[in-house]
Amino acid sequence: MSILKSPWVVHFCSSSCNGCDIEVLAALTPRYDLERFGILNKGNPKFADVLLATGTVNPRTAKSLKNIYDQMPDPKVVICIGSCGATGGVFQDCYNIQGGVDTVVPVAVYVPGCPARPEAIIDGVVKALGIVKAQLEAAEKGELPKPEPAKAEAGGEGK
Amino acid sequence: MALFSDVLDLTILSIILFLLAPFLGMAAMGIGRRISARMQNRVGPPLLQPWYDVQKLFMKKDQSTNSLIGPMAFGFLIFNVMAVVVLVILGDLLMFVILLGMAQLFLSLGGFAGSSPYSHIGANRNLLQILSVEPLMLAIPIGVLLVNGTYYISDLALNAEILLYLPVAVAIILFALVVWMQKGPFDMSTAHQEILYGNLLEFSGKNLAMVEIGHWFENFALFAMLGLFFNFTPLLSGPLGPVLAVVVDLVIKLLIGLVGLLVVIWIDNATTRQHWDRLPKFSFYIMLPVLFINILLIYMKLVWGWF
Amino acid sequence: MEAYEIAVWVLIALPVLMGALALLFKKKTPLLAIVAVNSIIVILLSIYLILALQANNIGQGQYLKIGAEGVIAGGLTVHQLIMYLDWALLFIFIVLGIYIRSWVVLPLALVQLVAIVWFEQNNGAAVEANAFALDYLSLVFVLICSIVGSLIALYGVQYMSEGEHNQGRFFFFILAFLGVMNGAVLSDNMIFLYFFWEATTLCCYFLIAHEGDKVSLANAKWAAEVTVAGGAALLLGILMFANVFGNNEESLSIMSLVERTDLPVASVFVAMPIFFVSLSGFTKSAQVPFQSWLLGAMVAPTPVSALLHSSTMVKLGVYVIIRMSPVIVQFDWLMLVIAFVGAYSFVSTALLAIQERSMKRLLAFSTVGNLGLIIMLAAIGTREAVAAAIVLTIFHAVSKALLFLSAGTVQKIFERKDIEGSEGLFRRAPALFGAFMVGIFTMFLTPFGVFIAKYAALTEAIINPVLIMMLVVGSIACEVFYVRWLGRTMAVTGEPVKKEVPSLYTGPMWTLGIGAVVLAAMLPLYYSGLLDHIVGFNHLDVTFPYISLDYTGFIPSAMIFIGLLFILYYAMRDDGGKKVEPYTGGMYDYKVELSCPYFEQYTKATKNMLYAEILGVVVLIVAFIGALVAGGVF
Repeated sequence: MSILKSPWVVHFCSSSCNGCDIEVLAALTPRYDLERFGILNKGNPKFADVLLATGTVNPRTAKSLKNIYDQMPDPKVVICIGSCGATGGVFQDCYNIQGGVDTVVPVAVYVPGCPARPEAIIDGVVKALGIVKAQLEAAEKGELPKPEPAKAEAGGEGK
Repeated sequence: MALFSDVLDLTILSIILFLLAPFLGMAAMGIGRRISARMQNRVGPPLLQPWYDVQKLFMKKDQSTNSLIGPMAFGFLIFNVMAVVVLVILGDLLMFVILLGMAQLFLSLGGFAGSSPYSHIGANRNLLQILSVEPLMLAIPIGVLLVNGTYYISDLALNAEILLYLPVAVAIILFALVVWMQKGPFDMSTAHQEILYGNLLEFSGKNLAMVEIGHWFENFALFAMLGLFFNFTPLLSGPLGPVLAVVVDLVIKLLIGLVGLLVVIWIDNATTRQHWDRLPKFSFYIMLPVLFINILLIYMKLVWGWF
Repeated sequence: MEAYEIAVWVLIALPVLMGALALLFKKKTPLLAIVAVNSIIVILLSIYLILALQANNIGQGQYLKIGAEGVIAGGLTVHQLIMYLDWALLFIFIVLGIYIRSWVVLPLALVQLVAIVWFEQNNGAAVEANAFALDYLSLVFVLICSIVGSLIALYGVQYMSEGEHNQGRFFFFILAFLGVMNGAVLSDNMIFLYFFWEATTLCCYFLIAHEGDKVSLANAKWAAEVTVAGGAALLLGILMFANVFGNNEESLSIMSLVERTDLPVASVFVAMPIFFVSLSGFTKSAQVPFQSWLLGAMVAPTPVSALLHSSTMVKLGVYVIIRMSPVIVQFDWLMLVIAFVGAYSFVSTALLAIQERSMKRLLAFSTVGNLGLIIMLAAIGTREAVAAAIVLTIFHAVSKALLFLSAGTVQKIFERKDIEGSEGLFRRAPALFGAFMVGIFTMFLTPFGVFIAKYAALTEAIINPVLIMMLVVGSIACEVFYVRWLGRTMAVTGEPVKKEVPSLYTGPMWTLGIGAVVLAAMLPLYYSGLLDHIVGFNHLDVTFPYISLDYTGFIPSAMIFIGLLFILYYAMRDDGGKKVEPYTGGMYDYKVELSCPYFEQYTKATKNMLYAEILGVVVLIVAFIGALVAGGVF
């Protein structure tokens, strides 16, 4: 599966404290060197396979996140980073926060941490690619339709 | 001068070179990324990474905003392929340079067809790039015409002294390489961090793959053109015999291409991106006068016989 | 009277008569009928002339003499008729000069009238030179004028029927111009050429002034001033020729002039008339520093711009220089400076066009540039160069007419005159877009005619290093603004509203587009034979010492281009499917507005035009001195 050898990443920060964003960019530095896996940070969703979504979601950034997600060509996978992306993190009960990234787009892998460590982010990317590989192989064999994770496509409106 | 065809069966050489062309271009990109990474104290991707990239791109769904982007990508690819074809049959150098330039025009058109603000900025900057680089490139075959009497690459490849007459060609080809590989101080049309791949922004999936493969052919063409100015066949064919001389000459050209690649990567890593109007100014105020001096010297020596 | 002689007379006189008929009508249908009948007859006659030339076995350096013996009516010979018409024309110019209060037209027309009357009284024999001559060069221009001109006239019927006024008068001048242009390129007698030349100037004035508002009248006045000055230069050259060659029938015959191999080369009296005739060619073809009249003439209705100011009238200037090329090439210095004028116009207009926002002015800059290229090629005068000049003439006429018609259609249907206004033509008017795309591609892509001529120009320009530098910069600058314009038409934002384009717009445009492609495909058939049959070149045998241009390399390009066209057609049909948003940084509900930079801060148009014109005047002064040097004065 060539997507495993060359996963291109687009990073979108919706409403976070930017801690996880700094960790994502740190993962690209020579110390962690994501490029040796073929991972390139292409800021353009039309080039990308993997969406690294950091931060939690409010009604305005929900639409932007959906916009970016829709522009990515299939096959694509979303990884949400940090506890904000998973559930809302420390901002969970704020008036404008509607929850984690999975209220807007289907998420394959949740990378925990506040902020998530670069090693955890790399681990998450590798896991996500494994999920993609399994899904594509299963779809080829005709066993499963392309699966929809739990809270997929569940609207963009707030709570 | 004996024509190349007296020396070797051209068809076999042409077919071999044409089949090798995309792979050598791909290797140029792969080696470039690796050396760049090592220069930045990283490990870098495997050498075959461009191959994996293109393979992955072919399996992506097409998300073009405009159905004209596909034909423009195809146009870019096919004009680069035609340029390489002209090169490997040792044909007309002026046609070769013109075809390379026209391929870039299709990238600009693809950028315009993308219908987004970033892609328009990139497309207009690509046009400025063309305006800066192409006149210099066009002057090289004319210089070769003055020295050799014909445009044919087969005659150029047998001229061991061409570099003495047209040294500015090496500078121009390196300049063109820096600009068209989107490296170094002049990568303004696909400035990643600033305009997000500019004119390539709205390409995706197999369109982007076609552009990548076109870039492979383009790289091969430019590096081969650089190698064409270092000809050792006439000097070697005495001691080594014609066939072996050509083989050794091609290996030397390969090494020259590698050195050129190193120079380009070095310039890329050592400089920062310049403001977009620095490129036309550099080209018109510095490179064009240098070119004019070289051409004038050729005239003084060969046409008017002043020395 | 031979059949071809009748054909020639009809080709000259019929359009003028049909034009007079058009004065009576205002509605679209009768005008369409008149123009259509005229077009059919003129095209058929032009094609017949090809057959006539071949039937008469016109070979190397030969031509068909079309004399004008005999009287027409009331004891009036043709030469006398033209002479009286000429006086009447100059009188009309004098009246016009008074009416528009022009201090250039009035005195120059007066001087020309006095000069020509005096000349014709004292040089009766010279004035009786042979009337018309038909060879392949004239035929090429007659074909361009007839076919391209007719298509533009048909387009013009639809164009003028939408909200314009004075249709009858408009079509009188358009059709009369077609006839007069035929007369000019078929002339053998220099006095006839001069008459038809000034007649085209008159038609040009009234056509530019058609709209009747202040801007049009001012531009028409300036155009008249520059071209009447050019006519005066032409007359001066003619009088000097008569002075050199004496008062006999051969001295004012163009064909005899170009056949002369015994020119006293070190004679200023031969170099100077050539310079003055070339100068008149420069004014007619709007070379720098005379280009401003052509740019101003773009206020005229689009059929005028397409017909007069790109395809036919301005080609009269280059016709004269191509025709005189065997004579120019005998004077090294003069040849070089005429080539410089052409090349300098080419590069300066190519660079100036990059900052141009208006469609028609951009096309005008490009026209001046291509005409400069033709002049450079004609002046260099080798076999390949002149063949390339003729090829460029043909293909430039076709492609540029197509582009002007596109600009006019956008102006009429979408009511925008600037390049930014033609955004999204791909979806708003696909038929128009298709023809327009073919037009743009034929202007610079291989394997089309304009590209082949540029290839030849790059090769032929190696006679001088500065020419090389001018050409390489100009060739690339030409591509930049065309690609930007085509790109703008490809960009689609929002929901484009499709509009219908009348078939009288798309019909001529597609004919021209397909014609450009087909003619380019057939180019190898007629390219090499082109020069062998034109008068004056056979005995000079100036061969380009370096290479012979071999066009088999263009066949793969042609195949690739046809493949590209198929893919483009397929892409244009595929309209449905999910709409993908362009990338706007994640912003949603974002109305995308696109534009292009025109780099005004780097190319301040007026200031740079002024510099270009000053430099052009310098080049002309150098040319004048060069003519004196060539003539052995220094």
